[in-house]
Amino acid sequence: MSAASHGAAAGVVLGLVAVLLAQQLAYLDLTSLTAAIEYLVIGAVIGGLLGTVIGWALGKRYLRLHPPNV
Amino acid sequence: MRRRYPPRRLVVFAAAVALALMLGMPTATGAASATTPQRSGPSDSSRPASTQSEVSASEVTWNGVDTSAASSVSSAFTVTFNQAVNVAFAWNPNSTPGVTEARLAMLYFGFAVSTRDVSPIQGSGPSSSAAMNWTVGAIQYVVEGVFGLTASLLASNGTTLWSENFFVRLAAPFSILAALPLILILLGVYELYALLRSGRQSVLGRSKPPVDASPPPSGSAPGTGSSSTAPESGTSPPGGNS
Repeated sequence: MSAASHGAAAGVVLGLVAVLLAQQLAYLDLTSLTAAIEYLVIGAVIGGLLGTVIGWALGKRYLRLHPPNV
Repeated sequence: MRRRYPPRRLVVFAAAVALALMLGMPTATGAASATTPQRSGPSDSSRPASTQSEVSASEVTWNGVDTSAASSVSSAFTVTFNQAVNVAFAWNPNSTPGVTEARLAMLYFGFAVSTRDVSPIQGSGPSSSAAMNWTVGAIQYVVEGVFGLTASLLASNGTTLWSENFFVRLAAPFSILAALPLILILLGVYELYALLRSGRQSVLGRSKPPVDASPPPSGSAPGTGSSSTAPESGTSPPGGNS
């Protein structure tokens, strides 16, 4: 599992958590099923994209700081 | 074999994020309650709306306030922990005939997570009414936040004769002591920690191939006879150790 895919997986979960937590903090209305699924999909996509970018950048940084012994 | 690194900075960062979330919750609560009108006065709460005057159309009151005032999330009624709310249905039997049951359902993801029915209907003249003492119930230990409620008048065969949607905001003790937000915060902190340490995954696919890429030592000389004795000797193959 690469750093980017690892970051994407964490980002998707974070996006879902952010949407559900926003409803619990009274910022979002998840009464309707269609609207709730839309919010969750948008959160998962945005979180996955951001997680991919962050994971890729962190992987690059880690390899630069800790070069593997070939 | 996974390496262990001291995750001190990441743990401190995760703790800071959790602290910021916990501090942000009372702020959000205050913002929501600031926009919510104070409607929880106990003085007019036990009075059904139908006793005041003749009802021209169907209506529901929430502690004496018409629920049409809470038709959006920003104007939702606030329900504190363990608070009981007097909900009164009122309708005109001439315009809405055949009502046998009044129902209040709380929706989450389109599904009714809490439903209360009241069957005895008082009055049969120009106005009829039904009242219930509504509480959130055991679900208040699990969830909080904004929820949509549907108040409906039903016929004897289950047909919805009239309904109205409005919003309430359930509050947990200290704005956090419900199960779902606590689980979500813990899960978010863990996933944030997993995201921040995802850079270490990049080294996993690169350190193993040089070790496993060594060619078999005896495969190139099949006729020498050494291939049958080398695996049984128990010694490590040449080049196998780094």
